[in-house]
Amino acid sequence: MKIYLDNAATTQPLIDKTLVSHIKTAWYNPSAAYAPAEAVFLEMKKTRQALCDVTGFDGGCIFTSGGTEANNMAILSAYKKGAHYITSAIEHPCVYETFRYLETMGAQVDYVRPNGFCIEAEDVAALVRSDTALVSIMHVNNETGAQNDIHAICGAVKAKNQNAAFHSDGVQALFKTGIDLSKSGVDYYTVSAHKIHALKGTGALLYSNNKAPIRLHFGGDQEYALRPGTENTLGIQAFYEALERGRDGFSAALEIVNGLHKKLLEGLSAIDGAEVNLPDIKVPHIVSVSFPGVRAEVLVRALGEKGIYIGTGAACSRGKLSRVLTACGVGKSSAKGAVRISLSALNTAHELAVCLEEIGYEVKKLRRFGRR
Amino acid sequence: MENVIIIRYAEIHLKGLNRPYFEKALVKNAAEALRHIDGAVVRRGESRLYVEGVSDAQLGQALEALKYVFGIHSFSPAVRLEQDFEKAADVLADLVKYERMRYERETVRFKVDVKRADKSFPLPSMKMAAAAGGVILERVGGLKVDLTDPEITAYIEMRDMAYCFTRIIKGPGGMPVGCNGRAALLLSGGIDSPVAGCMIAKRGVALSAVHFESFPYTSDKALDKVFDLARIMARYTGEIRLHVIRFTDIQTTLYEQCPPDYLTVLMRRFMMRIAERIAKADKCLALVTGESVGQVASQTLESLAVTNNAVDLPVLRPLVGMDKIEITELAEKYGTFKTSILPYEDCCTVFVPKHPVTKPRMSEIDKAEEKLDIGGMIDAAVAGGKATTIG
Repeated sequence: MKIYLDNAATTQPLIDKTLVSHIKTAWYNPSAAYAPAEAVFLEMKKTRQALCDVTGFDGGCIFTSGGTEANNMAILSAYKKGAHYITSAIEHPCVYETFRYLETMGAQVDYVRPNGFCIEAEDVAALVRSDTALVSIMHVNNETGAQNDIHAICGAVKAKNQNAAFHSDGVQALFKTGIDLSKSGVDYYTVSAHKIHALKGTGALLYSNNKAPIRLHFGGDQEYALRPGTENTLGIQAFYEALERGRDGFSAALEIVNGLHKKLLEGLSAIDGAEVNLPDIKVPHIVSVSFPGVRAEVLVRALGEKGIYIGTGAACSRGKLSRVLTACGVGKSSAKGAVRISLSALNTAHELAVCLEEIGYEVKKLRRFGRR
Repeated sequence: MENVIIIRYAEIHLKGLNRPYFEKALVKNAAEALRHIDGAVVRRGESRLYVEGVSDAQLGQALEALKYVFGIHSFSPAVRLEQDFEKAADVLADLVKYERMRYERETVRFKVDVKRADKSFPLPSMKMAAAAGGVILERVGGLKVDLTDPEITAYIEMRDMAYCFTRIIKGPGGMPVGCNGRAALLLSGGIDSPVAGCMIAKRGVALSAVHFESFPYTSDKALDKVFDLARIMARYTGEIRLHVIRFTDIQTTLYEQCPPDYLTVLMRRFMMRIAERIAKADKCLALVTGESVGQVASQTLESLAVTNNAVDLPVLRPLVGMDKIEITELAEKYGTFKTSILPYEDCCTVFVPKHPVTKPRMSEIDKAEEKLDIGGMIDAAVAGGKATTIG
């Protein structure tokens, strides 16, 4: 039996239709001039449109190798020598490290701290200056599930400086919460395919029409010459299938996950010493829970041996104390013992019950063997 | 005329009547190291080996491979031709011309070194050197003879054939692996034990290795790192038989039943016993560890003594008198350092007591071990072990 509860790390691809059609008919190079290749090109256009539809975004869309590249691209697009930037202390490393890099290039960067687990609009607005080039605040946090009110934050930023660009990393938000960017003023928005049951290696940057991103790669004129290289057509076609499925099943899936989330919190509260790192506003897909006195990765491996797969905070920062949880005020011992359980609509109540029972058993066992 | 590589041995010439045995081992190991070089053949010559059949395209690759073969003192890419002095001088001039191109200066100091193994050759060495030097000076510009501090030395050796070369490349020394039996190395993921293994292999000893993992306290990545270390070592040591033993149950049993300050020493004794069991099955004649006196609590002389007397096989500790800097330098030389310092938990750091005993007493150990089913614990650990051949 395998129980997969690490859906914030990646999701099981549900792309059967795409796999067949790609191999049979949709494998041509979309830059070529004959009909089947042009059909592939038009398929890509459909995916772009679908992305704008599900997010309510009005603007351009280019495909990237994933969330990391799209986030890098948005932030670097707003780079001006010596300019001022605002981001938060709880961003994903692909945002956070890009700003750290800009600092080495002479940029001034303010890192907004969360109030609890969420970023407050007034805290961001207070830092906006006349020379602020870009503000980047994630939509949903990947470690805690905290949801930031990007409409309010973006509005507050623009109220103080109309020229400051606003970017949001929406990788963990797509299909986890309703998104309507149509009147938000958001200039850049990042999405990733493998978090919504499509394939790794595919992401997209949505950008407003007056804020075309800069290119990070050089080559042919694919993706409006902004992102050269033969397109990842399989990934993009799979993205489309996942977008359709996600859109059609959105309400039903959210209801399932909401129910699972409730059960999960109840179950965790019954485990001795479990501390749920629970944001005020959140998506139900991600639950961060600490077991002080237990090392998170040891618990994850012990469960893994039993076929139960959960995450240690962020999959990308193995072994280190979580910067995000620390910024959220989670103490050292709790941060060390923090695991992430992340759900999808494919999970069942029975799976959660098994997982909770095993967590209770393993935590009790591991606590017996602390350093003495 | 053909290209060959001359291989000179390190210590084999000391070995009297056993010499053919050691030479055959070196031929075998050199051939193994050159298995990816098309057409390469290793032959025994008088007090040396020759590699024949290496194409110019693969010469660099072949020379690189020989740097890892224990037992080789030095080696030289050379031209072999008949015993014709004039022809040899000509070849030598070509070689010097090639070497000369590496210097951008106006004049480069050089000398000719002649060895006459075949004393029947009519010209005496000094005269031959002078004559060859003359030919070279005539053919190659920008040279000046300097017998005491030359930058280029051109060698002619008159043997059954004539050999000309300009480069002597240092080998790793030591003795051919396999000619001095087999030992079992206790291999952790750290800096010391891979170095200890390489040093013992340098004495001609083939290796088995025993690694202890503590899943779920240690990860599969930590285990993969140990396989990587074994692969790096295997360039020098040849094939390593690597045994992985899951040690978690023993650790948790000791944790619950024994005094905390004795935990590390007791664990070490179990590791030694298990390693000895595996060693005997692999026909090893000794155990090898990376311990060095006083480095940590479990490596004080008192601790080493109680670790030692858990087993009957001799325990070789090639790093025993070295400090960390010296060990690190060797780890860099053998290429294991960068992998050793990758930050994964290893089983020794998992159950470390806050205050480990530095002067363990045998009476305390006996008291702690009395309560344990030592044989059963070892049987279970060994039965759960997995062995893989690396290299």
